[in-house]
Amino acid sequence: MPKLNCQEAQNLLEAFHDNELDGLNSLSVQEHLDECPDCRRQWRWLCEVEASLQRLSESTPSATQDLRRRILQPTSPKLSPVPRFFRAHLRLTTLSALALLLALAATVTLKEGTRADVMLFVRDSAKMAQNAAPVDLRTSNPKEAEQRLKDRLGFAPTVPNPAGFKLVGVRCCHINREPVGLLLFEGNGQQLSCYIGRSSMIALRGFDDATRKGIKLGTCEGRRVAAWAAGNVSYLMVSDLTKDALLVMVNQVVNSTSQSLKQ
Amino acid sequence: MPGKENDARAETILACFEALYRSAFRLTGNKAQAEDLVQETYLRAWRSLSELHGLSSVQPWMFRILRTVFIDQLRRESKRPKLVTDVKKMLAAPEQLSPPEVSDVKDRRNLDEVFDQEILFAMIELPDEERSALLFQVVGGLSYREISEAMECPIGTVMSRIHRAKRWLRHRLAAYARNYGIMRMTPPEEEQRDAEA
Repeated sequence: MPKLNCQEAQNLLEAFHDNELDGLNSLSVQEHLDECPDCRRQWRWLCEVEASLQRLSESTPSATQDLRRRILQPTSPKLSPVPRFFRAHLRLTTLSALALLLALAATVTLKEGTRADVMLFVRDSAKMAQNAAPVDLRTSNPKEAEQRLKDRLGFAPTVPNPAGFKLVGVRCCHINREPVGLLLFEGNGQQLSCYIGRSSMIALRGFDDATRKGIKLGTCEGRRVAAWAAGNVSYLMVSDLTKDALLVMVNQVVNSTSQSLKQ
Repeated sequence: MPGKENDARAETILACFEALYRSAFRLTGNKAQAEDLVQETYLRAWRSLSELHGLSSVQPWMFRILRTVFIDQLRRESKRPKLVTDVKKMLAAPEQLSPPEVSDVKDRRNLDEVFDQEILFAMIELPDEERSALLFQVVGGLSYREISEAMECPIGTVMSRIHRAKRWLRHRLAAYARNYGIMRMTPPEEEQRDAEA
């Protein structure tokens, strides 16, 4: 075991205190301290200051819950995973983000009060439909879309099958704890979007007509809107069809969705 | 599997949260700046998650980001602490310390309070490198090796930075104790006898 002089021992005192020395050096320092009163005095003083540092550490405040939430919520991969597909397709990612924003606006509109303006909702959804339909599942299979809605929204509405249109895909999101599904259809060069949610879309303000079956009709920026309720699920369709054509189509769809909720 | 790896990394990163915040609090000296610092650290970390290899180096990696963000903030705000002449001299000088005697303190509680306050002032005067190394060790709980990774310097450099920082603190507290007469500056008699023998 190497004998240490005072200078060598004092140079190692901090590492000795921090348990960062190997066994041999640690023993050498201990042996020197046992023999040297000057270094023992240095050691006691060092321990005094170290104790003060320890108290400094212990008295350092913890982070607030608010900061913890800010850091954990928006970025945690578990809470907001970004699919590889969207990473690889920047344009689609942008469109998806737009869709989420629009869906947020729509949901907030619905949540803020049942008397919110349907036109605001439709104007936003129209923009979305024009943007090549960002979806998180591309499928033409209604059963597959239905399963996705059930998995993501927590309830299982019937997927409408509008005549002349083919299902393109489905998008789901939970915003403000409100599950919202969007189905996108295409046919004869036209797009049709159908929103599905628990909130009552037919109670929105701004419809200009209603049928005996309770289908609400309206127009927004040249696009036709129809909304109806099936059980406790609401549907809202937005299309470029004429009023009569939309009404015919919705009447046909309403029959299939009237038994809507398959919990 | 990459998804699982990312989850594991994310969990390890989140486990550093408390140590990072507490170090940030002592680095900046106030809650608002500490929160900004930690938030920016995590933003950068999430963005660079794929660059992280191995879980063992997560904590040093997070502290490295914290330090980079802190230095960036200091540069932006031009608030880099200026070296006090005494510190410069002390850091360059060899150990010349006549420590106070701690064995016969009467009012231990009062002494602790006085020292705890004084040590904060002394730390503010330290250069950034020494202060960061010391805080990462004392408040962040990092080992010498982890600090060397966080500060991207050899482990020997870390040891000497911490050594210099603590020596400065001992010097400052000893001077305080001497000036205010709160501790005896001579060793106990039996130790004097031992030394003479």
